[in-house]
Amino acid sequence: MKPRDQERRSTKLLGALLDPTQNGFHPWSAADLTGILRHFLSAPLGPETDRLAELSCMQADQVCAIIKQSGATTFQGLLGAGTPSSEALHLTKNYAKASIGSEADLPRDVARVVYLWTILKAQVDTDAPISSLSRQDVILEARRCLTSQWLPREAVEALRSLLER
Amino acid sequence: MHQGPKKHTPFPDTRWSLVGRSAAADDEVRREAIADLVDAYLPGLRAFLIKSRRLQADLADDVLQDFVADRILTSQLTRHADASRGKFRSLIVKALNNFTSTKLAQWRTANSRAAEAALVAVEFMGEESSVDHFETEWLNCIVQRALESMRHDCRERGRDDIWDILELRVAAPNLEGAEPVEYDELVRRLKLDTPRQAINLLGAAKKAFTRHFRKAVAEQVGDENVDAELADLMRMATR
Repeated sequence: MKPRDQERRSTKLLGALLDPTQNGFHPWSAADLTGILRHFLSAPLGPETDRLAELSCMQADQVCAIIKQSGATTFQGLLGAGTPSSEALHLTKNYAKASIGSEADLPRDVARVVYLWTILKAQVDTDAPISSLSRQDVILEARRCLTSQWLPREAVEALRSLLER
Repeated sequence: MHQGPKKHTPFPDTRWSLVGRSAAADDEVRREAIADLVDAYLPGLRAFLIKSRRLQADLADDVLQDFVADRILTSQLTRHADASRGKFRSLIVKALNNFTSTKLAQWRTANSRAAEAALVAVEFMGEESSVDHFETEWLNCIVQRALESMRHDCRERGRDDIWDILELRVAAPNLEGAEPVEYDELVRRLKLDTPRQAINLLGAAKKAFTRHFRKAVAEQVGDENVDAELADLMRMATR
């Protein structure tokens, strides 16, 4: 750190913590975003039940039933299922959508990928679309997501596979 | 009168005890207020003398001792501060600047070769940059107080995780230039089940720091001035 930077270290910290125009923290690096998406995919659905219910304006027991019926125990299990539950995908879409604006539960970049992934998955593998977005728009946005350097390999492969079908 | 440069030593404790006792003779509350005042502003004032007025460290310490004794303890300076505490930083640094000019002129007049040798440069660099050195150092002190207060509070409440995430992701990278601990490592260290827990923990850490920072600022400028002061500090932080 240069001497003047060292001297101004506290102003940097305050800029990171108190500036209302920032999220408030040291920005997530590409490696962090990769780790966060992997962590999200492997996270058990159970502890997220209340939050999923809250963001979809449902009761927790309803969400529990949907998750149980889906047969998935993790978000990865849900997004990778051959015949996924459209209701469970809808819950996940709402979960991700909430963070695109506010970064409430996920960094915005990660939330955007999860959001498009759920919609694309529902369009390709279910008979019940969970979004009013057209297939063309979803494909366009998904391709844009694929240009993100931080996207983990397994996510790239899964999205490409859906786009090719 | 200053007897020329001497080997640098920090202010002896006895000197500050003397300062405290001298003021206590007037008023206990005033003594405590002045002790706090000196404690809060001293690093910034010292940085101002060394970096802006280009005094050597030991000479800066001498000037500061005299300034505290002559201008803070015996003059109206602190009463002005009571009337407008939020502006005290400007007042004290201007007073110190004037005091330093007078002192240097006196020492030069005395033609002390030793004193001359101590003055690396006495050109005033311009008010903005000079005040900037002082204010930056003052801000460093406030931030350190807020961090220490938060660390202590988190430990007491058994919320080491809140302190740890702030330190690993925000404080160390910004204050020490350290690489922020990567997310994967953060998850392992703090045993986080989901990304939401990490985001929430960061949010809690931010709120906690903001609360402690506000408290630290209020201790310096008073509750009634804290909002204006915080806005001023934010301008400093983002310029």
